[in-house]
Amino acid sequence: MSPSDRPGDAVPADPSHVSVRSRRRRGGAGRGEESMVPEAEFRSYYGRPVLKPPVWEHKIAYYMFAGGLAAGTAVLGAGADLTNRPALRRATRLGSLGALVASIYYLVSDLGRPERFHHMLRVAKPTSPMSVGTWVLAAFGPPRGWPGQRRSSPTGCGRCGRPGS
Amino acid sequence: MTWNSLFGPLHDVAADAGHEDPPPRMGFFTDTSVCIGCKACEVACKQWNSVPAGDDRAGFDLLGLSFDNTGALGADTWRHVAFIEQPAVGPAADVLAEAAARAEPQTLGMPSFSRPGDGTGAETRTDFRWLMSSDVCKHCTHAGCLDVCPTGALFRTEFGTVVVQQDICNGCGYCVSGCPYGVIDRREGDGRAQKCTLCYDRLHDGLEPACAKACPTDSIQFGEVDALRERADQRLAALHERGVGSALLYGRDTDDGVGGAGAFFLLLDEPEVYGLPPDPVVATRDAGQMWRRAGMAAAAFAAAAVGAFLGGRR
Repeated sequence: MSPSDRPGDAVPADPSHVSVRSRRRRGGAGRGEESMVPEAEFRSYYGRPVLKPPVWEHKIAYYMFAGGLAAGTAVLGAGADLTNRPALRRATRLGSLGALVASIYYLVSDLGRPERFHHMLRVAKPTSPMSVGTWVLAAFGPPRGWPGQRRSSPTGCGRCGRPGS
Repeated sequence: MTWNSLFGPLHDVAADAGHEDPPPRMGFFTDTSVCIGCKACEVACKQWNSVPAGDDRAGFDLLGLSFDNTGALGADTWRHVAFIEQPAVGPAADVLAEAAARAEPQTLGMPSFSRPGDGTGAETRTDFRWLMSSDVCKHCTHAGCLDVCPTGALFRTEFGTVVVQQDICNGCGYCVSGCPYGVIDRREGDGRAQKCTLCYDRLHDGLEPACAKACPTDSIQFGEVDALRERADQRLAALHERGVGSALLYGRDTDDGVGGAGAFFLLLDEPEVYGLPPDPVVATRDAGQMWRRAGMAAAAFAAAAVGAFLGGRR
Protein backbone atom coordinates (compact mmCIF):
# COMPACT_ATOMS: atom_id res chain seq x y z
CA MET A 1 0.00 0.00 0.00
CA SER A 2 1.50 3.28 -1.03
CA PRO A 3 1.20 6.19 1.39
CA SER A 4 -1.28 8.00 -0.82
CA ASP A 5 -3.62 5.02 -0.71
CA ARG A 6 -4.12 5.40 2.99
CA PRO A 7 -7.66 6.42 3.79
CA GLY A 8 -7.89 9.84 5.25
CA ASP A 9 -4.71 11.06 3.66
CA ALA A 10 -5.35 13.75 1.13
CA VAL A 11 -3.65 12.93 -2.14
CA PRO A 12 -0.61 15.22 -2.41
CA ALA A 13 -1.52 17.96 -4.80
CA ASP A 14 0.37 17.98 -8.05
CA PRO A 15 1.93 21.47 -8.31
CA SER A 16 1.01 21.74 -11.98
CA HIS A 17 -2.64 21.11 -11.18
CA VAL A 18 -2.62 23.72 -8.47
CA SER A 19 -1.28 26.36 -10.79
CA VAL A 20 -3.82 25.52 -13.47
CA ARG A 21 -6.59 25.68 -10.93
CA SER A 22 -5.57 29.00 -9.46
CA ARG A 23 -5.09 30.47 -12.91
CA ARG A 24 -8.57 29.35 -13.83
CA ARG A 25 -9.96 30.85 -10.68
CA ARG A 26 -8.36 34.17 -11.37
CA GLY A 27 -9.83 34.15 -14.84
CA GLY A 28 -13.31 33.25 -13.58
CA ALA A 29 -16.14 35.24 -12.14
CA GLY A 30 -14.52 35.71 -8.75
CA ARG A 31 -11.76 37.87 -10.20
CA GLY A 32 -9.33 39.14 -7.64
CA GLU A 33 -10.82 37.15 -4.77
CA GLU A 34 -8.61 34.51 -3.28
CA SER A 35 -10.32 31.68 -1.44
CA MET A 36 -9.64 31.70 2.29
CA VAL A 37 -9.70 27.91 2.50
CA PRO A 38 -7.68 25.45 0.45
CA GLU A 39 -9.36 23.71 -2.43
CA ALA A 40 -11.28 20.66 -1.19
CA GLU A 41 -9.62 17.35 -1.93
CA PHE A 42 -11.60 14.17 -2.43
CA ARG A 43 -11.07 11.81 0.47
CA SER A 44 -12.76 8.53 1.08
CA TYR A 45 -12.23 5.04 2.38
CA TYR A 46 -9.29 3.71 0.32
CA GLY A 47 -10.40 5.99 -2.50
CA ARG A 48 -13.57 3.96 -3.01
CA PRO A 49 -16.68 5.78 -4.22
CA VAL A 50 -18.98 6.90 -1.40
CA LEU A 51 -22.18 6.40 -3.39
CA LYS A 52 -23.41 3.49 -5.46
CA PRO A 53 -23.37 3.94 -9.24
CA PRO A 54 -26.85 3.84 -10.80
CA VAL A 55 -27.85 0.33 -11.88
CA TRP A 56 -29.48 1.74 -15.02
CA GLU A 57 -27.79 1.08 -18.31
CA HIS A 58 -28.42 2.01 -21.94
CA LYS A 59 -32.04 0.81 -21.88
CA ILE A 60 -33.10 3.65 -19.61
CA ALA A 61 -31.56 6.17 -22.00
CA TYR A 62 -33.51 4.55 -24.86
CA TYR A 63 -36.65 4.62 -22.74
CA MET A 64 -36.23 8.32 -22.06
CA PHE A 65 -35.66 9.08 -25.73
CA ALA A 66 -38.52 6.90 -26.96
CA GLY A 67 -40.88 8.31 -24.33
CA GLY A 68 -40.01 11.85 -25.36
CA LEU A 69 -40.44 10.95 -29.01
CA ALA A 70 -43.87 9.46 -28.30
CA ALA A 71 -44.95 12.59 -26.44
CA GLY A 72 -43.60 14.92 -29.10
CA THR A 73 -45.20 13.08 -31.99
CA ALA A 74 -48.48 12.83 -30.10
CA VAL A 75 -48.57 16.58 -29.64
CA LEU A 76 -47.76 17.10 -33.31
CA GLY A 77 -50.50 14.58 -34.14
CA ALA A 78 -53.00 16.54 -32.07
CA GLY A 79 -51.96 19.71 -33.87
CA ALA A 80 -52.31 17.98 -37.22
CA ASP A 81 -55.75 16.79 -36.23
CA LEU A 82 -56.89 20.23 -35.19
CA THR A 83 -55.51 21.90 -38.30
CA ASN A 84 -56.69 19.13 -40.65
CA ARG A 85 -53.45 17.71 -42.02
CA PRO A 86 -54.25 14.03 -42.72
CA ALA A 87 -50.78 12.95 -43.85
CA LEU A 88 -49.04 14.47 -40.85
CA ARG A 89 -51.71 13.05 -38.59
CA ARG A 90 -51.20 9.50 -39.83
CA ALA A 91 -47.42 9.72 -39.66
CA THR A 92 -47.31 11.17 -36.17
CA ARG A 93 -49.88 8.70 -34.86
CA LEU A 94 -47.98 5.72 -36.14
CA GLY A 95 -44.72 7.22 -34.93
CA SER A 96 -46.16 7.93 -31.52
CA LEU A 97 -47.54 4.42 -31.17
CA GLY A 98 -44.26 2.86 -32.24
CA ALA A 99 -42.22 5.04 -29.90
CA LEU A 100 -44.61 4.29 -27.07
CA VAL A 101 -44.29 0.53 -27.54
CA ALA A 102 -40.50 0.87 -27.68
CA SER A 103 -40.38 3.01 -24.55
CA ILE A 104 -42.54 0.55 -22.60
CA TYR A 105 -40.37 -2.32 -23.77
CA TYR A 106 -37.17 -0.59 -22.63
CA LEU A 107 -38.68 0.50 -19.32
CA VAL A 108 -40.01 -2.94 -18.41
CA SER A 109 -37.06 -4.99 -19.60
CA ASP A 110 -34.66 -2.89 -17.54
CA LEU A 111 -36.35 -3.94 -14.29
CA GLY A 112 -34.67 -6.51 -12.09
CA ARG A 113 -37.99 -8.37 -12.01
CA PRO A 114 -39.78 -7.40 -15.27
CA GLU A 115 -42.77 -9.65 -14.53
CA ARG A 116 -43.57 -7.37 -11.60
CA PHE A 117 -43.93 -4.25 -13.73
CA HIS A 118 -47.52 -3.76 -12.61
CA HIS A 119 -46.32 -3.24 -9.03
CA MET A 120 -45.52 0.29 -10.19
CA LEU A 121 -49.28 0.85 -10.27
CA ARG A 122 -49.81 -0.04 -6.59
CA VAL A 123 -49.00 3.48 -5.45
CA ALA A 124 -48.83 7.02 -6.80
CA LYS A 125 -46.05 9.05 -5.20
CA PRO A 126 -45.31 12.64 -6.15
CA THR A 127 -41.93 12.31 -4.41
CA SER A 128 -40.91 9.70 -7.00
CA PRO A 129 -40.51 11.00 -10.55
CA MET A 130 -40.51 7.39 -11.71
CA SER A 131 -43.92 6.79 -10.14
CA VAL A 132 -45.33 9.92 -11.79
CA GLY A 133 -43.74 8.93 -15.10
CA THR A 134 -45.29 5.48 -14.90
CA TRP A 135 -48.72 6.94 -14.29
CA VAL A 136 -48.31 9.37 -17.16
CA LEU A 137 -47.33 6.45 -19.37
CA ALA A 138 -50.27 4.40 -18.10
CA ALA A 139 -52.69 7.26 -18.81
CA PHE A 140 -51.14 8.02 -22.19
CA GLY A 141 -50.77 4.44 -23.41
CA PRO A 142 -54.32 3.06 -23.72
CA PRO A 143 -55.65 5.91 -25.90
CA ARG A 144 -52.59 5.48 -28.13
CA GLY A 145 -52.96 1.76 -28.51
CA TRP A 146 -56.71 1.52 -28.79
CA PRO A 147 -57.39 0.50 -32.40
CA GLY A 148 -60.73 2.28 -32.52
CA GLN A 149 -58.99 5.51 -31.56
CA ARG A 150 -56.45 5.25 -34.32
CA ARG A 151 -58.57 7.29 -36.63
CA SER A 152 -59.63 9.75 -34.02
CA SER A 153 -57.62 12.33 -32.20
CA PRO A 154 -54.61 11.55 -30.08
CA THR A 155 -56.23 13.70 -27.47
CA GLY A 156 -59.09 11.22 -27.40
CA CYS A 157 -61.62 13.70 -28.71
CA GLY A 158 -61.05 13.77 -32.41
CA ARG A 159 -64.65 12.97 -33.25
CA CYS A 160 -65.81 16.07 -31.56
CA GLY A 161 -66.62 18.30 -34.46
CA ARG A 162 -64.85 16.61 -37.38
CA PRO A 163 -67.20 13.98 -38.83
CA GLY A 164 -65.18 13.66 -42.03
CA SER A 165 -61.97 12.50 -40.48
CA MET B 1 -55.14 13.56 2.64
CA THR B 2 -52.28 14.62 4.86
CA TRP B 3 -48.91 15.70 3.61
CA ASN B 4 -45.82 13.88 4.72
CA SER B 5 -42.88 15.84 5.94
CA LEU B 6 -40.12 15.83 3.31
CA PHE B 7 -37.24 17.55 5.05
CA GLY B 8 -36.03 18.72 8.40
CA PRO B 9 -36.37 17.40 11.95
CA LEU B 10 -39.32 15.16 12.62
CA HIS B 11 -40.43 14.15 16.08
CA ASP B 12 -42.38 10.99 15.30
CA VAL B 13 -41.39 9.41 12.00
CA ALA B 14 -43.72 6.41 12.24
CA ALA B 15 -46.75 8.61 12.95
CA ASP B 16 -45.78 10.88 10.05
CA ALA B 17 -45.81 7.79 7.84
CA GLY B 18 -49.35 6.97 8.94
CA HIS B 19 -48.87 4.50 11.77
CA GLU B 20 -51.40 4.94 14.55
CA ASP B 21 -50.00 4.92 18.04
CA PRO B 22 -46.62 3.49 17.00
CA PRO B 23 -44.03 2.07 19.40
CA PRO B 24 -40.93 4.20 20.05
CA ARG B 25 -38.49 4.67 17.20
CA MET B 26 -35.73 2.06 17.36
CA GLY B 27 -32.21 2.37 16.03
CA PHE B 28 -28.51 1.80 16.44
CA PHE B 29 -25.78 3.80 18.11
CA THR B 30 -22.46 2.48 16.84
CA ASP B 31 -19.63 3.61 19.11
CA THR B 32 -16.58 3.00 16.95
CA SER B 33 -14.20 3.91 19.78
CA VAL B 34 -14.74 0.46 21.29
CA CYS B 35 -15.01 -1.52 18.04
CA ILE B 36 -12.36 -4.24 17.90
CA GLY B 37 -13.00 -5.22 14.28
CA CYS B 38 -14.07 -8.79 15.04
CA LYS B 39 -16.74 -8.75 12.30
CA ALA B 40 -19.14 -10.74 14.47
CA CYS B 41 -21.83 -8.28 13.34
CA GLU B 42 -21.17 -9.09 9.67
CA VAL B 43 -21.38 -12.81 10.34
CA ALA B 44 -24.45 -12.61 12.56
CA CYS B 45 -26.23 -10.44 10.01
CA LYS B 46 -25.46 -12.82 7.15
CA GLN B 47 -26.58 -15.82 9.16
CA TRP B 48 -29.78 -14.40 10.55
CA ASN B 49 -30.94 -12.76 7.34
CA SER B 50 -29.65 -15.51 5.00
CA VAL B 51 -27.65 -12.94 3.05
CA PRO B 52 -25.73 -14.80 0.34
CA ALA B 53 -22.03 -14.43 -0.34
CA GLY B 54 -23.00 -12.79 -3.61
CA ASP B 55 -21.70 -12.91 -7.14
CA ASP B 56 -18.66 -10.92 -6.21
CA ARG B 57 -18.12 -13.39 -3.38
CA ALA B 58 -18.06 -10.53 -0.89
CA GLY B 59 -15.88 -11.50 2.01
CA PHE B 60 -14.06 -14.26 0.14
CA ASP B 61 -11.98 -12.04 -2.07
CA LEU B 62 -8.91 -10.55 -0.47
CA LEU B 63 -9.17 -6.85 -1.22
CA GLY B 64 -5.84 -5.88 0.32
CA LEU B 65 -7.51 -3.08 2.32
CA SER B 66 -6.14 -3.83 5.74
CA PHE B 67 -8.40 -6.51 7.25
CA ASP B 68 -11.41 -5.44 5.23
CA ASN B 69 -12.47 -7.93 2.59
CA THR B 70 -16.07 -6.81 2.08
CA GLY B 71 -15.20 -3.28 0.96
CA ALA B 72 -18.53 -1.52 1.29
CA LEU B 73 -22.18 -1.92 2.15
CA GLY B 74 -24.23 -3.44 -0.65
CA ALA B 75 -26.94 -5.89 -1.55
CA ASP B 76 -24.98 -8.74 0.03
CA THR B 77 -23.31 -6.81 2.84
CA TRP B 78 -25.69 -5.23 5.32
CA ARG B 79 -23.07 -4.67 8.00
CA HIS B 80 -19.60 -3.64 6.91
CA VAL B 81 -16.60 -3.28 9.19
CA ALA B 82 -14.10 -0.70 7.96
CA PHE B 83 -10.43 -0.93 8.94
CA ILE B 84 -8.34 2.21 8.68
CA GLU B 85 -4.63 2.28 9.45
CA GLN B 86 -3.32 5.69 10.40
CA PRO B 87 -0.24 7.24 11.90
CA ALA B 88 -1.70 8.30 15.22
CA VAL B 89 -2.12 11.98 15.91
CA GLY B 90 -3.15 14.02 18.90
CA PRO B 91 -4.12 13.01 22.41
CA ALA B 92 -5.19 9.49 21.51
CA ALA B 93 -1.54 8.72 20.79
CA ASP B 94 -0.42 10.30 24.05
CA VAL B 95 -2.72 8.02 25.99
CA LEU B 96 -1.15 5.03 24.30
CA ALA B 97 2.37 6.28 24.92
CA GLU B 98 1.59 6.87 28.59
CA ALA B 99 0.20 3.40 28.95
CA ALA B 100 3.24 1.95 27.22
CA ALA B 101 5.56 3.78 29.62
CA ARG B 102 3.73 2.46 32.67
CA ALA B 103 3.04 -1.04 31.51
CA GLU B 104 4.84 -4.12 32.74
CA PRO B 105 6.04 -6.53 30.08
CA GLN B 106 3.17 -8.79 29.15
CA THR B 107 3.39 -12.37 28.01
CA LEU B 108 1.41 -12.65 24.80
CA GLY B 109 2.12 -16.34 24.40
CA MET B 110 3.98 -15.76 21.18
CA PRO B 111 7.36 -17.29 20.49
CA SER B 112 9.75 -14.38 20.45
CA PHE B 113 13.12 -13.62 21.92
CA SER B 114 12.73 -9.88 22.15
CA ARG B 115 9.94 -7.42 22.60
CA PRO B 116 8.63 -5.71 19.48
CA GLY B 117 10.70 -2.63 18.74
CA ASP B 118 13.58 -3.64 21.02
CA GLY B 119 15.88 -4.48 18.17
CA THR B 120 15.67 -1.09 16.49
CA GLY B 121 15.38 1.18 19.48
CA ALA B 122 12.48 3.18 20.82
CA GLU B 123 13.19 6.20 18.66
CA THR B 124 12.35 4.28 15.48
CA ARG B 125 8.93 3.24 16.68
CA THR B 126 6.01 5.10 15.21
CA ASP B 127 2.71 5.79 16.77
CA PHE B 128 -0.05 4.14 14.88
CA ARG B 129 -3.75 3.82 15.28
CA TRP B 130 -6.31 1.54 13.88
CA LEU B 131 -9.80 2.84 13.30
CA MET B 132 -12.53 0.25 13.03
CA SER B 133 -16.14 0.97 12.38
CA SER B 134 -19.16 -1.15 11.68
CA ASP B 135 -21.26 0.63 9.05
CA VAL B 136 -24.94 -0.06 8.43
CA CYS B 137 -28.04 1.42 6.79
CA LYS B 138 -28.80 4.72 8.53
CA HIS B 139 -32.61 4.30 8.58
CA CYS B 140 -32.93 8.03 7.86
CA THR B 141 -35.69 10.23 9.20
CA HIS B 142 -36.22 11.31 5.59
CA ALA B 143 -35.13 8.31 3.56
CA GLY B 144 -34.22 8.99 -0.06
CA CYS B 145 -34.70 5.34 -1.03
CA LEU B 146 -38.20 5.26 0.41
CA ASP B 147 -39.23 8.56 -1.14
CA VAL B 148 -38.32 7.53 -4.68
CA CYS B 149 -39.54 3.91 -4.57
CA PRO B 150 -42.30 3.75 -7.23
CA THR B 151 -43.78 0.44 -6.06
CA GLY B 152 -44.13 1.12 -2.35
CA ALA B 153 -41.86 -1.86 -1.68
CA LEU B 154 -39.78 0.30 0.63
CA PHE B 155 -41.85 1.33 3.60
CA ARG B 156 -41.57 2.93 7.02
CA THR B 157 -42.20 0.39 9.74
CA GLU B 158 -43.96 1.10 13.01
CA PHE B 159 -40.48 1.19 14.61
CA GLY B 160 -39.50 4.08 12.35
CA THR B 161 -37.11 1.93 10.34
CA VAL B 162 -37.00 1.53 6.55
CA VAL B 163 -37.51 -1.94 5.07
CA VAL B 164 -37.81 -3.41 1.54
CA GLN B 165 -40.77 -5.74 1.03
CA GLN B 166 -39.19 -8.47 -1.03
CA ASP B 167 -42.51 -9.66 -2.48
CA ILE B 168 -43.21 -6.19 -3.90
CA CYS B 169 -39.85 -4.87 -5.14
CA ASN B 170 -39.57 -5.11 -8.93
CA GLY B 171 -35.95 -4.07 -9.11
CA CYS B 172 -36.34 -0.69 -10.81
CA GLY B 173 -33.13 0.46 -9.14
CA TYR B 174 -34.33 3.96 -8.28
CA CYS B 175 -33.52 3.55 -4.58
CA VAL B 176 -29.88 2.80 -5.45
CA SER B 177 -29.50 6.30 -6.84
CA GLY B 178 -31.83 7.77 -4.22
CA CYS B 179 -29.74 6.75 -1.21
CA PRO B 180 -27.45 9.62 -0.14
CA TYR B 181 -25.18 7.15 1.71
CA GLY B 182 -24.70 4.53 -1.04
CA VAL B 183 -26.15 1.76 1.13
CA ILE B 184 -28.88 -0.01 -0.82
CA ASP B 185 -28.08 -1.93 -3.99
CA ARG B 186 -29.69 -4.37 -6.41
CA ARG B 187 -28.64 -7.97 -5.93
CA GLU B 188 -27.11 -9.58 -9.01
CA GLY B 189 -29.04 -12.60 -10.18
CA ASP B 190 -31.95 -11.79 -7.90
CA GLY B 191 -32.93 -8.44 -9.35
CA ARG B 192 -34.37 -6.94 -6.17
CA ALA B 193 -33.02 -4.19 -3.97
CA GLN B 194 -31.56 -5.34 -0.67
CA LYS B 195 -30.45 -3.67 2.52
CA CYS B 196 -30.48 -3.86 6.30
CA THR B 197 -33.98 -4.33 7.75
CA LEU B 198 -32.85 -3.55 11.29
CA CYS B 199 -34.00 -7.17 11.81
CA TYR B 200 -37.67 -6.27 11.45
CA ASP B 201 -38.63 -9.88 12.21
CA ARG B 202 -36.62 -9.92 15.46
CA LEU B 203 -38.04 -6.55 16.53
CA HIS B 204 -41.54 -8.00 16.24
CA ASP B 205 -40.54 -10.65 18.77
CA GLY B 206 -38.94 -8.15 21.12
CA LEU B 207 -35.41 -9.25 20.25
CA GLU B 208 -32.50 -6.98 19.42
CA PRO B 209 -31.05 -7.14 15.89
CA ALA B 210 -28.55 -9.92 15.21
CA CYS B 211 -25.53 -7.60 14.84
CA ALA B 212 -26.13 -5.82 18.14
CA LYS B 213 -26.72 -9.16 19.86
CA ALA B 214 -23.43 -10.53 18.53
CA CYS B 215 -21.30 -7.45 19.26
CA PRO B 216 -18.90 -8.44 22.08
CA THR B 217 -17.87 -4.91 23.06
CA ASP B 218 -21.27 -3.20 22.81
CA SER B 219 -19.89 -1.03 20.03
CA ILE B 220 -23.25 -1.65 18.35
CA GLN B 221 -25.94 -0.53 20.74
CA PHE B 222 -29.59 -1.07 19.95
CA GLY B 223 -32.48 0.73 21.58
CA GLU B 224 -34.92 3.59 21.45
CA VAL B 225 -33.43 6.36 19.36
CA ASP B 226 -34.12 9.04 21.96
CA ALA B 227 -32.29 7.09 24.66
CA LEU B 228 -29.43 6.26 22.30
CA ARG B 229 -28.98 9.93 21.40
CA GLU B 230 -28.69 10.76 25.07
CA ARG B 231 -26.18 7.97 25.57
CA ALA B 232 -24.18 9.13 22.53
CA ASP B 233 -24.02 12.68 23.89
CA GLN B 234 -22.72 11.38 27.22
CA ARG B 235 -20.13 9.18 25.56
CA LEU B 236 -18.94 12.05 23.36
CA ALA B 237 -18.61 14.32 26.39
CA ALA B 238 -16.68 11.63 28.26
CA LEU B 239 -14.25 11.15 25.37
CA HIS B 240 -13.72 14.88 24.94
CA GLU B 241 -13.03 15.13 28.67
CA ARG B 242 -10.40 12.42 28.32
CA GLY B 243 -8.70 14.39 25.58
CA VAL B 244 -9.95 12.59 22.50
CA GLY B 245 -10.83 15.82 20.75
CA SER B 246 -11.28 14.20 17.35
CA ALA B 247 -14.35 12.25 18.51
CA LEU B 248 -17.55 13.33 16.82
CA LEU B 249 -21.10 12.13 16.40
CA TYR B 250 -22.25 11.33 12.87
CA GLY B 251 -25.95 11.21 12.02
CA ARG B 252 -26.95 12.40 15.49
CA ASP B 253 -27.92 15.93 14.41
CA THR B 254 -31.64 16.13 13.62
CA ASP B 255 -31.02 19.28 11.57
CA ASP B 256 -28.83 17.52 9.01
CA GLY B 257 -29.75 16.75 5.40
CA VAL B 258 -31.74 13.62 6.23
CA GLY B 259 -33.39 14.90 9.42
CA GLY B 260 -31.12 12.78 11.60
CA ALA B 261 -30.34 9.10 11.17
CA GLY B 262 -31.97 6.24 13.05
CA ALA B 263 -28.56 4.58 13.07
CA PHE B 264 -25.82 6.99 14.05
CA PHE B 265 -22.16 6.75 14.91
CA LEU B 266 -19.40 7.99 17.16
CA LEU B 267 -16.35 8.44 14.95
CA LEU B 268 -12.74 9.22 15.83
CA ASP B 269 -11.91 10.99 12.57
CA GLU B 270 -13.72 12.82 9.79
CA PRO B 271 -16.60 10.89 8.19
CA GLU B 272 -14.80 10.78 4.82
CA VAL B 273 -12.07 8.63 6.36
CA TYR B 274 -14.67 5.95 7.07
CA GLY B 275 -16.17 6.26 3.59
CA LEU B 276 -19.20 8.17 4.89
CA PRO B 277 -20.46 11.27 3.04
CA PRO B 278 -19.71 14.40 5.09
CA ASP B 279 -23.02 16.14 4.40
CA PRO B 280 -25.66 13.80 2.98
CA VAL B 281 -28.90 15.38 1.81
CA VAL B 282 -32.10 13.58 0.88
CA ALA B 283 -32.89 14.35 -2.78
CA THR B 284 -36.57 14.83 -1.91
CA ARG B 285 -35.65 18.14 -0.32
CA ASP B 286 -35.60 19.55 -3.85
CA ALA B 287 -38.73 17.74 -5.08
CA GLY B 288 -40.83 20.91 -5.13
CA GLN B 289 -38.26 22.80 -7.16
CA MET B 290 -37.82 19.81 -9.46
CA TRP B 291 -41.55 19.64 -10.24
CA ARG B 292 -41.71 23.40 -10.78
CA ARG B 293 -38.94 23.08 -13.35
CA ALA B 294 -40.64 20.07 -14.93
CA GLY B 295 -43.80 22.19 -15.19
CA MET B 296 -41.85 24.99 -16.85
CA ALA B 297 -40.33 22.50 -19.29
CA ALA B 298 -43.78 21.11 -20.09
CA ALA B 299 -45.13 24.63 -20.66
CA ALA B 300 -42.22 25.41 -22.98
CA PHE B 301 -42.89 22.16 -24.83
CA ALA B 302 -46.56 23.02 -25.28
CA ALA B 303 -45.69 26.56 -26.37
CA ALA B 304 -43.25 25.24 -28.95
CA ALA B 305 -45.91 22.88 -30.32
CA VAL B 306 -48.51 25.63 -30.55
CA GLY B 307 -45.93 27.90 -32.18
CA ALA B 308 -45.09 25.24 -34.74
CA PHE B 309 -48.67 25.18 -35.99
CA LEU B 310 -49.52 28.83 -35.62
CA GLY B 311 -46.36 29.98 -37.34
CA GLY B 312 -46.45 27.42 -40.15
CA ARG B 313 -48.09 27.93 -43.54
CA ARG B 314 -50.77 25.59 -44.83
